[in-house]
Amino acid sequence: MNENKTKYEVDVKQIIDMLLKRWWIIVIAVVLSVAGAFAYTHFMVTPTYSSSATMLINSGSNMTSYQQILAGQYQLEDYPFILKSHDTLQKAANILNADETVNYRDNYTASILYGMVSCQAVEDSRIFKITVTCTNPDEAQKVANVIKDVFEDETERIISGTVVQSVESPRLPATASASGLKKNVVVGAAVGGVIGVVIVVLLGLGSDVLDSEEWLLKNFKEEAPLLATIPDASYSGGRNYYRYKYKRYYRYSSDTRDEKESK
Amino acid sequence: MFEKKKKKGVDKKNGQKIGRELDFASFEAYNLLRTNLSFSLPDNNAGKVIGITSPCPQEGKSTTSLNLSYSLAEAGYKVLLVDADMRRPSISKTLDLPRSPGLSNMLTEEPDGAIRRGVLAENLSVLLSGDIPPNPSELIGSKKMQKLIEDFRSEYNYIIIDLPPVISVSDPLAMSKNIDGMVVVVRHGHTRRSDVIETMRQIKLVNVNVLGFVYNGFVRNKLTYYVHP
Repeated sequence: MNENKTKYEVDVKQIIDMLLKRWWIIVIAVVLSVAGAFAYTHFMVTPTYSSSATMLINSGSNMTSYQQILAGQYQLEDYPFILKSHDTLQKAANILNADETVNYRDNYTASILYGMVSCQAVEDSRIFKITVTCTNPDEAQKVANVIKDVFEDETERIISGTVVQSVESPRLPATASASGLKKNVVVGAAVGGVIGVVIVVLLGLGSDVLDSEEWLLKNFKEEAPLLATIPDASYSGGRNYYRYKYKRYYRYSSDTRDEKESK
Repeated sequence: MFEKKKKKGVDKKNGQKIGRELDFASFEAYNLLRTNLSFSLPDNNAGKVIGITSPCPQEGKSTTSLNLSYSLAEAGYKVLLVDADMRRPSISKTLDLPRSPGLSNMLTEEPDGAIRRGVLAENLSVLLSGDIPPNPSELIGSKKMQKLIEDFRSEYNYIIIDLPPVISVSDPLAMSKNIDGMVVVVRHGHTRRSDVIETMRQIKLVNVNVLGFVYNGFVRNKLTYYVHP
């Protein structure tokens, strides 16, 4: 049990040593991956535009009791189904196809609109938000307006007594919505880091070069002991104090001693 | 006039320092090597002959030979350092001394002044490689070499022989009958494991007493330096 534990610790230490020795490979992999993710997002991903409509939905006329307010909030969960139902979207598609001023694409269908529209019910309120996302800002606004109107009619028809009031009409989006640049860069950095670590570990495991005395101790323990480990003279990490002390000691013990003896 | 003067005691070829230029940690490591070697060899009156070799070139044989010799000499032993690497001698360059006359000259004639006394330390004598001969292996394996070593045994406490790498040439193996033990120098991040295995195999074939390894050029994390066994 203990042997297994010791072995595991040594392996982890070896892997950490490998990573520290070739840390620059990991850095290069991360930099290249981030650059790749940035270039892909910047040059390959088409920018999208979003236009949103916000509505206040009253489920009843008077709202006198707590139960009625609670019922209204529960109904917020019904509205996404109404919005994304085939009937609602097909009606909106028919209106868009009939409108001669709308010429962004040849034909709208319920499935095309399904891919463009999303919605959000604001928690603990009666606010409902519809967002239309596409590659053309004018089209986003136009489609959002049509879907908003159709949704209002359909909701009032399906849930009797419901009144949908517009809070915010769809506006022309001035800038492209988030293209996922941050997300892609973070994912790129993570993927690059993992690739770098894998490369370093594979290089370390496949390397034939001596990287610790432990290999000698393990393989030649019986026939040849390790007599000494000589540190690299060009590496001075943390030993300057002792070097200074040694020089002082040496000067006294050798030069001064010789002088004393000669006297 | 403006020629840069070479600093003695620094082996610029592989960045290692020697003798008095050693830092504290290296100095202590060579002292440890000296102590361990003194326990590895039989305690008799004759001088002890230690061969220093490595699997491949550039692993620190000459630096180790020099510093071990220096450490032994500082401890009061009479030491002779022999540069038996007649193909690519380097001790003469490190010490900034002329290569000739040296070992090859001693094996072919009887030159005066081949052994330099009081180099780096009072008790340290050095026999450099001499002129590069056409047949180093034959010279090293010759009876004259054997006799020379026997003569040195009576004069010195330790004879440290800097040998060429085992895998490259057969000189270290030819010298095997003259030495009491062999030290194999390996370098961190340079020596291949397969070369160490091959070196040990070849050394075993000629039945040499392997005293042990010297692990050279190790860069240790300062946080773990003091916890190393």
